[in-house]
Amino acid sequence: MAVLLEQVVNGLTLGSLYGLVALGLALLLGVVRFANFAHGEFLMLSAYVLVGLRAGLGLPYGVAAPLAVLAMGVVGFLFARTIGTTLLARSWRFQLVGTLAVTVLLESGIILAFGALPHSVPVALATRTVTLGGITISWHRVVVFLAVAVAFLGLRLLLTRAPIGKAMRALAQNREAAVDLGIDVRRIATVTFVLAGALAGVGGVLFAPLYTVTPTMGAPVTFKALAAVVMAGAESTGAVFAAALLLGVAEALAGGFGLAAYQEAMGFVVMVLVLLLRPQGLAGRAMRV
Amino acid sequence: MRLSRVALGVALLAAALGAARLAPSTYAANALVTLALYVVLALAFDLMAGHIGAVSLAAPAFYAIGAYTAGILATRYEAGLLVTLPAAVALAALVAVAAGWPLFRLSDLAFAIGSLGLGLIAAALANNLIDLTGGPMCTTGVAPARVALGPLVLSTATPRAAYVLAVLLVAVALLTYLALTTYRAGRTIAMIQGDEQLAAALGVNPLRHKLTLFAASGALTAAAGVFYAHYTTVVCPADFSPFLTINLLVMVFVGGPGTLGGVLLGAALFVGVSEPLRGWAHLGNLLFGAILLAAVLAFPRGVWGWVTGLAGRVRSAA
Amino acid sequence: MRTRLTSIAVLALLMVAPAVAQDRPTLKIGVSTRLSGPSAVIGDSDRKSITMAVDELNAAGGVAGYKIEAIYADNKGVPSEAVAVARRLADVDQVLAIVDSAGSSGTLAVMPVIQQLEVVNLAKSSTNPRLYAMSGKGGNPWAFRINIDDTMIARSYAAFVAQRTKSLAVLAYNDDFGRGAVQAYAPILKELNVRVTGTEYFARGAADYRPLLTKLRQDNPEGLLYIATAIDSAIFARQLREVGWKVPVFTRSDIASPEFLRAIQDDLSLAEGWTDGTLWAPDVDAAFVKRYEEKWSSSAVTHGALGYHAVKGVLAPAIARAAADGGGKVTRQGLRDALAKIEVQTPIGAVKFDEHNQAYPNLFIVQIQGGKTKVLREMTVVKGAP
Repeated sequence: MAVLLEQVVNGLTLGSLYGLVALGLALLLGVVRFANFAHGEFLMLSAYVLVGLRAGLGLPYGVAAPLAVLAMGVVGFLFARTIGTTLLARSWRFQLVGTLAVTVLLESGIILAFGALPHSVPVALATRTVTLGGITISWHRVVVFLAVAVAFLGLRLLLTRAPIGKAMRALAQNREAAVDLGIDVRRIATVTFVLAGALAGVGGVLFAPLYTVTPTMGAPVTFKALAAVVMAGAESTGAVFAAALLLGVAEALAGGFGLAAYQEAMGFVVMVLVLLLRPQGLAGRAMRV
Repeated sequence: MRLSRVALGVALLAAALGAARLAPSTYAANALVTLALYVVLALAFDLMAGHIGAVSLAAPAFYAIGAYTAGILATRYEAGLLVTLPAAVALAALVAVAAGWPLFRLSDLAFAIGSLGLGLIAAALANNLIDLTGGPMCTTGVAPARVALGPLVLSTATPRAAYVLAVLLVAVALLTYLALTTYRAGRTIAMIQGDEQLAAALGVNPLRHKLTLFAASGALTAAAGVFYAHYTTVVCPADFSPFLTINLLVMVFVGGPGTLGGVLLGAALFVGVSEPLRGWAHLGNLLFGAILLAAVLAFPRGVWGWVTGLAGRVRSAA
Repeated sequence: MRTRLTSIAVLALLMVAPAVAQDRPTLKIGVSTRLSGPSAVIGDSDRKSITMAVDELNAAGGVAGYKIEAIYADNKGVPSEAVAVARRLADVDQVLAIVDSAGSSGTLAVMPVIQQLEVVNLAKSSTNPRLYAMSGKGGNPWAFRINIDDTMIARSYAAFVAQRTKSLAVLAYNDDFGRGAVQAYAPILKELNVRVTGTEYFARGAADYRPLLTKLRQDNPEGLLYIATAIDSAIFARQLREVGWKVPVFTRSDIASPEFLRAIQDDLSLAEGWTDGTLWAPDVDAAFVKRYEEKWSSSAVTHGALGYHAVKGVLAPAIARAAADGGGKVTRQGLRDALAKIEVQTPIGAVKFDEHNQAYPNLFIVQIQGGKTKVLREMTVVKGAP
């Protein structure tokens, strides 16, 4: 039983990181109608900024991590103002190829800058453990859960209470009406990109100490985030996050029960099963792209 | 078909076949074979993406079905091309229909992601069903294809010989593509794309047409896989990664989706740009990504769309 | 008058001579390696190591009067790319020989090609046992291999492991290397009465071992056999510690690579006591390690070291021999024949190719002690196919 619980905890950690990326992806899809197949690369970039700040400036994790997240917000802004504007006018298919090009660019750029060798971000909390309810986890995982919870709740608050959040939701739910009401689409789009970038950034800095930082770490995360968004629809942040958690747990359980070889594909198996049983998605409202 | 079109087709075919003789080295011949395979794959991809807007990222799955069916039948039962090809094509069509049924219920983006999943699952199966496929240890020793038509012998034993067979495969792919996308079939597709409900009301069965296209697309992709197995004699799971899908996406969307010219141009541009960059490793990849991004941003209807637009303007100005 | 003419003539000759000497003919060696993809680390270290080897050879006057040039190409770890690369190197760049770092599936794919094009393919990290019978006598005369594979190491390394533990869990790469190794060790471990409690495979570069470790731990094995490479070993070490499982670790993961120790330098105790059955150790090759780190400001990896020796320690003497036998000229055929004949000593052991074009450098059993590698044993291995 303890073993099962440990696997589930593993899965929830993984899933919550996928969730951060999936949330940003869902926001971009729902609010801005932008299919960002390079979204996992924001996670990767954030991890490398972290590596760079630590190695280059000797900053401790507690300082470097928030800076990296801020940096990703800036990257989101730049992305919105440059590539985003042009691609926004196109169909999602062209957005797909365009963002794939961005993925290739970023990956090779990082390899040229940092080398192909993986980097590690050793953090003291990652190897110091605590035992709760019969299972042992590292302190860093506790940090992960707390940080993700804060990020998720913060996002919900923003979307429900803040004026900008309400404008985002209006744009997502009824684009024509929102535009007629005079909502500044360009501004909202930029804010959404910044937010999505920052969320992925949080994922990246949390991810790095638990695993390893490689130039190709972004792509598998993008796939799983996409699977989560497809399963849940781009309209409910709660559903998207829950779907991501489900994928993470499925992956961990696969590893724990003899199907480790299929781990990468496991998320998609789950997605396919969900879609077979419920084509309208977990939230009851299918993707509207 | 009009006689002039047929004549043009025959002339092009002869020219294409002649190109093998002119190839300066086996490397060049191999590059031509690769180009031919990519053209087939790109045509199969565009059948769906360029005509009913369904971006199927499942190409690796069908390619694998083709390659492994051929590989396994050839190594275990000494089957030749005349057995492996029909077997693989039939299997691929079946899988396409079975998978398409649930997938076509989804929205466009969901369909794409679902098909991506299909590709990833197929790759995982190829890697792990070791008793069947050899997994990472590969299926090796696949005999080259050898078909004797009287005095003419078609084979995949050398790049130059294989090229001839590859051109024939391209011809078949082209004919299939044209048959399914022009005339009545083309009008049906246009109807479905325009308004599915109206089309259904008029007695057109959208799902049946979509499944037909998907099956044809899968079958052509599998045929390319069969060729690949007999040509390289080794079938490894590493060849069926999303890498392949990305190449196809690039070819079709940069070239120009939905048009024959676009697909052919895209394939040619892709091979033309990526081969020289091969020796440059990461810098080459960076350049490739930059060129790709620039092309996507600059050509909303693909390069072919731009070329035909330009030609149109020149003609009207003249 | 004659003296002046003579001195002008001599002066002229002296001016021309360096220019002529500058134009030393060049021999090209192709390197097909994994510069991108999940094994990009291997390609990177190959390129650095072989560049160093070539620079050293040329600085010492070249080989048999020839300048050596290395041409690198990326096979991306994909077999079809390996084929295109081999054709390009052999046909377009007209290389004398190809150093093959494409992994087993790549090497398998290029076998027919190198035979068609008649160019030597020297594999240095292809572990599929089938390659033995496919090369040399009765098979492809152009295929050579300088790395030994696990079927050859199995008896020696398994015996070492069996002396230290009675039960073992196995964690291996889900590829030809990992699966091949498990296939080689399983029967021998059984013979030696070592109980294998469980075997799990994972994808190269996969980031999360925790579910697998949690599963394997349940059966309480006395030891753990980890079959991977240096880079993944570092992540594995951290996660093993995080999971809190203190178990003796045996590896086939080139943890003797300085890169591994660098990756865990913040806490070298993570790998204390780990052992490795490997094809290279820094202890026997300190000069290489030092020069590599000075030149590239980065740590060496086993694969790169093997590449260095493949070029400097094996190909160079073979080229020299081919030149000697060929009256100063070196052809692909000549190089092939020379490789079959030479017998050289390298820091990793003697290299002499048998009738299946297989060489047998040494196996090193290495242990991490006090944050440093220590060679426990150096042994020659079983020759021929099992």
